[in-house]
Amino acid sequence: MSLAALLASASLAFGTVPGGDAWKVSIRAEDAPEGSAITLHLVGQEPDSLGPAMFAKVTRQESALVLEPSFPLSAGNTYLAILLDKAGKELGQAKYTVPRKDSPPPRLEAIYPTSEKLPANLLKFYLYFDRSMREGQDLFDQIHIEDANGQRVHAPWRRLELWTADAKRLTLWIHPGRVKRGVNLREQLGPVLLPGKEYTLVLDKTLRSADGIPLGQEIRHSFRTLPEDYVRPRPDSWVLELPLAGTSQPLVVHLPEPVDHALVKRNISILLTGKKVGLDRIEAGEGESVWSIYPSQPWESGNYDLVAGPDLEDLAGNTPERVFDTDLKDASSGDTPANVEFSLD
Amino acid sequence: MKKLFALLTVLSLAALDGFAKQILDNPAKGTAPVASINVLSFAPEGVLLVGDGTNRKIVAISTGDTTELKGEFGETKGFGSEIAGRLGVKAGDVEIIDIAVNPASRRLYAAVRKQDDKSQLVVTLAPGGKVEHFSFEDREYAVVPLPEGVSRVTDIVWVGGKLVAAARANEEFASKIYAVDGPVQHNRGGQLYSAETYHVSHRRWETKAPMSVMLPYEEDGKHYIVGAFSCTPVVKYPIDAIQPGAKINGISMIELGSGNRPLDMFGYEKDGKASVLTNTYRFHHSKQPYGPSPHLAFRFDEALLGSEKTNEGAIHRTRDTKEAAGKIDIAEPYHGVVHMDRLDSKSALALRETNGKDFDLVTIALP
Repeated sequence: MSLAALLASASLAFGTVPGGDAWKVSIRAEDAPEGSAITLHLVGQEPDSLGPAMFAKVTRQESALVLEPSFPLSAGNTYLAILLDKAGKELGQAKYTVPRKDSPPPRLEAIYPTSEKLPANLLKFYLYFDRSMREGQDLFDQIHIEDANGQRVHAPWRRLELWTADAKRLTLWIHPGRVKRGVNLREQLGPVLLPGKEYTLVLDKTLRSADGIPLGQEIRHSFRTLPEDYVRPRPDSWVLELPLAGTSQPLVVHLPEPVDHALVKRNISILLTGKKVGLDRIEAGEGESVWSIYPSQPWESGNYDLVAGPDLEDLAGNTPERVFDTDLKDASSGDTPANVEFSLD
Repeated sequence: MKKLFALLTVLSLAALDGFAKQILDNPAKGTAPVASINVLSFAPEGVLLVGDGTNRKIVAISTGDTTELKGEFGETKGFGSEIAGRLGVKAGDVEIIDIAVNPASRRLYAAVRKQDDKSQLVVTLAPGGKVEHFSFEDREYAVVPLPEGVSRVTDIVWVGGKLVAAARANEEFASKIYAVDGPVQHNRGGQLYSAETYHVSHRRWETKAPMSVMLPYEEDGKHYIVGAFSCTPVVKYPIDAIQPGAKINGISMIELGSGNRPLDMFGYEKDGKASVLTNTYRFHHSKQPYGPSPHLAFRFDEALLGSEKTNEGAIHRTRDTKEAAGKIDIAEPYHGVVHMDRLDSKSALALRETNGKDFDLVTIALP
């Protein structure tokens, strides 16, 4: 290597962009001849294995030639920056390994439904994690249902990833084709869950956070199955504990069965003489079969309607209008009033 | 991996009446606000349609990519690694979310997620070229807002002058169709419809099943969307039925058999015969495989979409074996295909899984 190349290598360096933690590569302007360029590559695990030039923007500034990667460098990976002259001849290089963050393993914060007794035609679980998790189809092979003998239930999931935007909540669907009666999949493979049995939802310790940290230990969540539920969540069967007018006490609604907690907020509304009442929050209690509805302003005296939206579901996907697997030609569907009247003095 | 043969028909008609120049009306200019990608598709004139259910929007972006590229793609071993390398990570640390070929240019577009920081981007590949980053900066674009309750867009098509999307919520297992009249205007929304569909395999009308993939289809001058669902009815919906307040009833035309979930679908014409190709994930694979991979593809005669046998009488691939022979086939060369789209009149571009961590990009003759 020539002296010029050695000098260039010496000043080619990784650093962070001022004001942030994004990485950049720069070299002193005097060490970067006119027309020179920098490329950045992932260093592979095999000797001499180098990835293609990464997406990046290279700009010549007053005092330096600077490469800014288009996407963040990843913790634990080693990168090689190469300075090339205008003919493509290498003038120098620098290597850098991005330190791994010292993060604890991700944590499963909650599983919904929370009840330990669930209908055998349960449709979905919600898993809440404390941080963004790694997306991808692998997770359907990392989460299992075991029966009481420790045998894994075959192919329980609908393999469609449904994460919230922050990738902290996963909606995990038990395959609807094995829940709906009369569907070939259920007839051929049987339902995923049978009534009156013990099961365990198992998360492999290999399930990873977005930045690659595994759970580290297996997570097990046991539950028992009830008979299959083909009863619609009828608002006219709900029992109300009324607040006092002039207060912000909650309206407490007791349901004969749990409903899907994620659907409550946009499917429960309250009308005061036909006008929508502003709600502060709706809180779940007792296995999602008791709901406390808090107003944003103190309750006024008057005649109210508690309205259940058509997409409110119980744990088996039954709505106020229909049983989950109803044939729409079934004349018995859609005959339930979706509201409960109450008055506050 | 959706759009198709009928789209080409739309294109050719469009060229006659100037319709295709009105995909975007008075678009915004600047950085197209794409934050998350569920699906990619194309409208005419190289307008890229990006479905972002997470942020409840579809972003229509004028790519300016309207010159037909010549040349062959051939085969790229380790295409996933190639993309990952361009992002500075290993193959297993990216996910290829979807691919689409721009029918105006024959350029491949792929939506990619970098797993560790959730960066989402679009890369492109020209025949014989290298993977390039498709920047969202300095574009003409229009954002089509989607209503509350949508959290995932499963497919988008441009048909009969409308943008039509299949959508669903994380929490609900239901079929929603979203439609907005073209030309698309920035921040102008459309309507969300609930569609009723006859599911042939279990002989039942229902709304409680989300549509997986769609394609535009034209029959006797009338525009339809054709949707495929899990387990696996293929259903057509007349576009003129998509009107405010209307209930949309689908017409089930074909049943491909249980245990399959459609992933992509497109139409094409070969040797004077129009066909539709759809690749699926077979969740019966471990117990009843149809080939070496759970990913396989079915070809069927487009003429079946115009059959008089519908709903209860729709042709069933595994039940009506004699009638289905030669009309519905498993496309053997497409085993292992995870994503695909029609490239031209002779072939498709496809991503084929290799070792569970990587994908090869392959050009496969249309069956």
